[in-house]
Amino acid sequence: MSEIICQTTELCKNYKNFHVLQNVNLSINRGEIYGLIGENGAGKSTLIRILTGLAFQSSGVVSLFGKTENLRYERAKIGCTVEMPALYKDMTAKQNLEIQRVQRGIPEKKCISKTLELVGLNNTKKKKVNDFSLGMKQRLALAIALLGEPEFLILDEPVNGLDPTGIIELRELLKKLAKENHVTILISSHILSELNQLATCYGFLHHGKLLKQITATELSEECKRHIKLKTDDTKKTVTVLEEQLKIKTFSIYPDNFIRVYEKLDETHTISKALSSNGIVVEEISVQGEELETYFENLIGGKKYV
Amino acid sequence: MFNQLKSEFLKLKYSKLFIAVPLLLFAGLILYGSFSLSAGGTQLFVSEGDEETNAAIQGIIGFFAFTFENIDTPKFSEIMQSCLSCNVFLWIVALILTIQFFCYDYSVGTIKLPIAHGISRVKVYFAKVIVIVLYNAICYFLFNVITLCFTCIQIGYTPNITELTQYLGYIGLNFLVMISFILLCINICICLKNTGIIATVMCLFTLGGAVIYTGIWQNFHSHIILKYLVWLNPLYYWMNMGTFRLEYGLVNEIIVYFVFGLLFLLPLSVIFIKKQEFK
Repeated sequence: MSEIICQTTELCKNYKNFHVLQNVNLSINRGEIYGLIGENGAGKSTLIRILTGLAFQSSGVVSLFGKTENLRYERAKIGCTVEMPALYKDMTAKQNLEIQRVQRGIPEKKCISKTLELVGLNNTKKKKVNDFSLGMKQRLALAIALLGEPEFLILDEPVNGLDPTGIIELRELLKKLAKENHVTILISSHILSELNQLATCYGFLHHGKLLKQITATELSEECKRHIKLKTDDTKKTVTVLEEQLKIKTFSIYPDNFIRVYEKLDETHTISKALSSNGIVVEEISVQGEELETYFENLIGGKKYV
Repeated sequence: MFNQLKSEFLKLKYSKLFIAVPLLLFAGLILYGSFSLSAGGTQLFVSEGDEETNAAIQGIIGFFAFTFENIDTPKFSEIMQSCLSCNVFLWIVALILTIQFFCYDYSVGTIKLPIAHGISRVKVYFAKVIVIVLYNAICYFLFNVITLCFTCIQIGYTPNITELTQYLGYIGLNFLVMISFILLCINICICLKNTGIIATVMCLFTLGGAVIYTGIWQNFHSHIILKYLVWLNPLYYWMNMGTFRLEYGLVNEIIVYFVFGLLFLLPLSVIFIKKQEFK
């Protein structure tokens, strides 16, 4: 069983009568890239602020690296960016990193140039952060998060302001960190197409509630176009599918649901074949969608995400 | 804690304040120099009591620079008075330095970085306070030494060790007030966070208090509410010290103000910091 790096149990955050987070039960395993998906105002940043100790939960438990109390030492293993890049604007990239290095007690001075190179900011020299583009600021914020080789990286909307090349580079960098350094990553975004190419696990947050937590494999399985079939006799249905209709790719799910991944345009033929064999078809429909559609359906309607 | 202190010093070193503060003080010195070189020498911004009051208490309060009974035989107390009066520049500098340095992390969001990284909020806070107080102390004592040297050279007076010790005692007492004033500013910074609003509030409070005091100083103790407002104001202590009114219990009042800062304002700001949420 893989080690749980971050877990929340019945986490709630209220501001007077406004419930920002409601009973959030989230779980992130080591090495995962966890995509936190939600609309603006869904509670993503609040959740991240609680995990990083910038805000306090109204109730519930936060567990980091298996500990639930006195999380200061556990938070030292975290690198994070929260909302807008937090940088000293009248200083250079190197000076920004130098301050963070000293503050965190990292003895190795070389880590600054190494991290700047990693995010592609090694040529900024004496240029002040004030003169940086938003993309460069995002990269520098990421460099600060990466300083000291954290075990757990929390990134709040890190692709905001990045150009297409920057987005691809960031994606590759995060994948590399997760694969080679076994860094666990929590990344929040409302750009679903971007998370789709990166995350290994997803959490869907809506109006402060974690609606669903699902792995990328499970999600792609759910999103794959298929015929969803339910009959009164699963065993007999399987025989008909294999022997009469020559269908080889299908899977059986709990509650006797069958997913058929071929002959998607032939629901009528399948239905007819099953009926002629005395099988009652309770449900037959073509399903499967993009992540956006999946999310829209999950939150119960089309909304701007 | 050492890492925090070092990083706060680096922030100061890399910031514009590191240059701006000495420049401001230099401007203050030039202004002070222009007083001494101006015709007649004497510079006053004072409130004078009526004859009856003057008989009971020293009859004048406010800002004195280069006021000598006899310029040919100057007294050290007159030189000291001149130098202490010029401390007024330092209150402005202390105000700017404290607000700018403390609020900068809040305004750019960098205050979140050490906290999210598990560094104790209290350690971050104390590192900031220590750096602010130390940098203020360096500027303060340096400025005072320069003004004393400048005045003595200008007048042609050589102070002895006893006089220098006395001067050091005075500016030391004044610095105790400054520490409490810095802590007061920091409390306001934690509550309001916005540099512009804090600067406005603190300028109004400081200068307003000075104006109120010059208006009510003769029957100061009969104003119940205003009296406490003025007691909170650092310029009350500066104005009294600048006119050598130490014999009216000022030393005790300064110590009370300093203890109030240490035992009330400091713990209060720690409570604020511990409870604060960062957005």
